[in-house]
Amino acid sequence: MAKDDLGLARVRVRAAWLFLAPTLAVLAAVAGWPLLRTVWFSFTDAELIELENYRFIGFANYLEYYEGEWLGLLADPQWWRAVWRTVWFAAVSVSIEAVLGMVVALALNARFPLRGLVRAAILIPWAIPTIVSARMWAWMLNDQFGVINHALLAIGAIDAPVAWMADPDLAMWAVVIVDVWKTTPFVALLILAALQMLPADCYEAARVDGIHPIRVFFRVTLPLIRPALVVALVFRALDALRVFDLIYVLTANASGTQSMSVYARQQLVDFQDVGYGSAASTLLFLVIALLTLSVVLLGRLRLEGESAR
Amino acid sequence: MADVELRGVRKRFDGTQVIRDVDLRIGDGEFCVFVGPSGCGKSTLLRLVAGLESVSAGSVHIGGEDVTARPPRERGIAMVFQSYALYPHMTVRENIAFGLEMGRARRAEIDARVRDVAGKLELAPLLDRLPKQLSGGQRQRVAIGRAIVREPKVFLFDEPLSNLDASLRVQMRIEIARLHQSMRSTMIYVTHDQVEAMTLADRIVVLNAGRVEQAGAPVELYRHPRNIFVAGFIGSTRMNFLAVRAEGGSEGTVAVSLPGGARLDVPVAGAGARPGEALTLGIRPEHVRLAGDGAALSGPVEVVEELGDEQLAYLRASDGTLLTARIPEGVRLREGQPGRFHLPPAACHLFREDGTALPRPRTDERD
Ligand SMILES: Nc1ncnc2c1ncn2[C@@H]1O[C@H](COP(=O)(O)OP(=O)(O)OP(=O)(O)O)[C@@H](O)[C@H]1O
Ligand SMILES: [Mg+2]
Repeated sequence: MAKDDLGLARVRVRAAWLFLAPTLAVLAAVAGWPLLRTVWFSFTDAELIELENYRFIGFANYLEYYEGEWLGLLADPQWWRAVWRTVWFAAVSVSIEAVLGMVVALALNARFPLRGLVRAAILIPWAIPTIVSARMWAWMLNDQFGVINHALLAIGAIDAPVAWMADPDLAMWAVVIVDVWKTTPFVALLILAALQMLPADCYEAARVDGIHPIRVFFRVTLPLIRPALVVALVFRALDALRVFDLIYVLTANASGTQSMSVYARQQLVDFQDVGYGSAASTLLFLVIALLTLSVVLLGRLRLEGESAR
Repeated sequence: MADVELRGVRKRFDGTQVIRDVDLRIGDGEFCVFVGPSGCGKSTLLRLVAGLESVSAGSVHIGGEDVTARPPRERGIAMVFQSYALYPHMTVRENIAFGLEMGRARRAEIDARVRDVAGKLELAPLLDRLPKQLSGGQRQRVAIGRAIVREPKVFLFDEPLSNLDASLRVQMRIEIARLHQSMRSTMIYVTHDQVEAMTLADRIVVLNAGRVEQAGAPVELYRHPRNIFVAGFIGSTRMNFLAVRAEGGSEGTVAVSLPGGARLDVPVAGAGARPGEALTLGIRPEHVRLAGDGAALSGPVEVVEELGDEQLAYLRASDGTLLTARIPEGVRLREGQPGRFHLPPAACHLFREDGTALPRPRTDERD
């Protein structure tokens, strides 16, 4: 009997691998191989015009001591500014999206006429391709012809057109606003799904017990949807850390608004330096992996702390 | 003082009338049980009292005050839900204390009250557990604890025991009865269970299709059902009904002819029935006798169900009706053999064609 069980388990494991094999093969081809090649290139001095001709140069792309000077990516202040800018962008935009997404989800969870229509309509910004919405916002934010300057002038909020993309700080906020506009629906939808799973009777019990709605939100709703909220925010944070198209369309290569991805692309394509660009890409990958890992570990610690309580 | 009064209460949900003109007064400290078939509006009526639903017409009064327009928290009620409705992420202690923290009660006082309630319901060893670590009966006790800790004027229970197994139900039923005795607060209790209704209630309200069919003490409903619906609904085994015809009779009795031709003089209070009128005769299975005086029905015994301490015998009468009798153990009845069921006249009920009962005499209260 026990032997049969083992046999059955073995058959199941084999079937599982069989089903997984095609996906694994595709993943290896489209994700594993390019990733490995990028890591490999980061240790070479390859250039885009003649990719076949390269030398292995070790960690020189990352860090190198040359004629009394530290060189390489890790010594490049522009890279570190891009890193901090990206992290700042991810933190600010994801925080705003979390709060706004929660508000929108709570509103959509209430009963009102035409709710289905509004739920569908709110998804539109998320459905538009980033390139299109970025272009659209670039025009809206245009300093001479943009509708936003026009509107602000008309209501008297400003008395001269604002050059949104000229000042790096302002430009970063513009990027944040567009990102929030675009991805709040996504966060809202994930939260809404969690809200709809909540036990309705608990809320009736709270009503009978006379507990204030705000207290119910912080003591009942928030703890119960926390798992879904964390998943949504981790998703969003990973996305935001890789941000590229939005910034590239809105501000092109301006060094004041470069994110990690934009920096890597500039090295790879504009400067043709495949080795250095690959090093930037690899570091980008490591930074994201490190942040994800720490979030997951923190979450697990928190969970364990709670169950031990 | 916390009597509950409903005056002309109606409720409609998007066009369907669910509660129709309910007038009801539940006295202070009374244990009132709502029973009725599924979908008749018991939960809705309870939720109207709680204020979880608003009335479409009429008014709700608690303790003499009109609370129709007030939210649940201002009605001085506590409710125990069928699904327990415990907060899944809070411990038993937090669940019980949650409703108190609003009332600006002091930390120490809250603690004392939670411990007091936990002691009453034997929850003390479970205070630090989460709901998912409790059994059904324990969860139910937590839900009850959460209600009593607030010391409400009126308790509302919506089928609180229906998710429990039979032995636990009996135990919890006794606990609820004890609770009512010690707290003497008004309780409204919804149930499907006949035994719960009969044993717990000071008064039973039988609902059907959003109307009150009859409200009264359990024994009153058992002995003097106002109509055929209440007669069929009250009682742990359903009353037998037979189509009969009035033959005449003097003041205080109605003579009816049973299927098969036998005559029976059924005592009634007041005017009888017109000769020739079609009536329905009702008799409870526990009143059917296998021997004795009174007219009898004969026919084949189709099925005998052994219940251990008694048996249920089903007899096919000559007009095709299946009659049930509860008979003591030890009496030998064979399936497929002919049998005779005697109907003691004093235990019979008569109903007119519109379903209303002919009143029975009140002198004879022995059964
Ligand atoms: N929110 C609602 N919207 C529409 N109809 C409803 C709503 N709540 C209840 N009803 C309807 O009202 C009627 C009575 O429902 P209710 O829940 O009060 O029945 P009940 O007597 O408690 O039944 P049960 O014994 O099955 O719990 C049912 O026909 C139900 O479909
Ligand atoms: Mg119900």
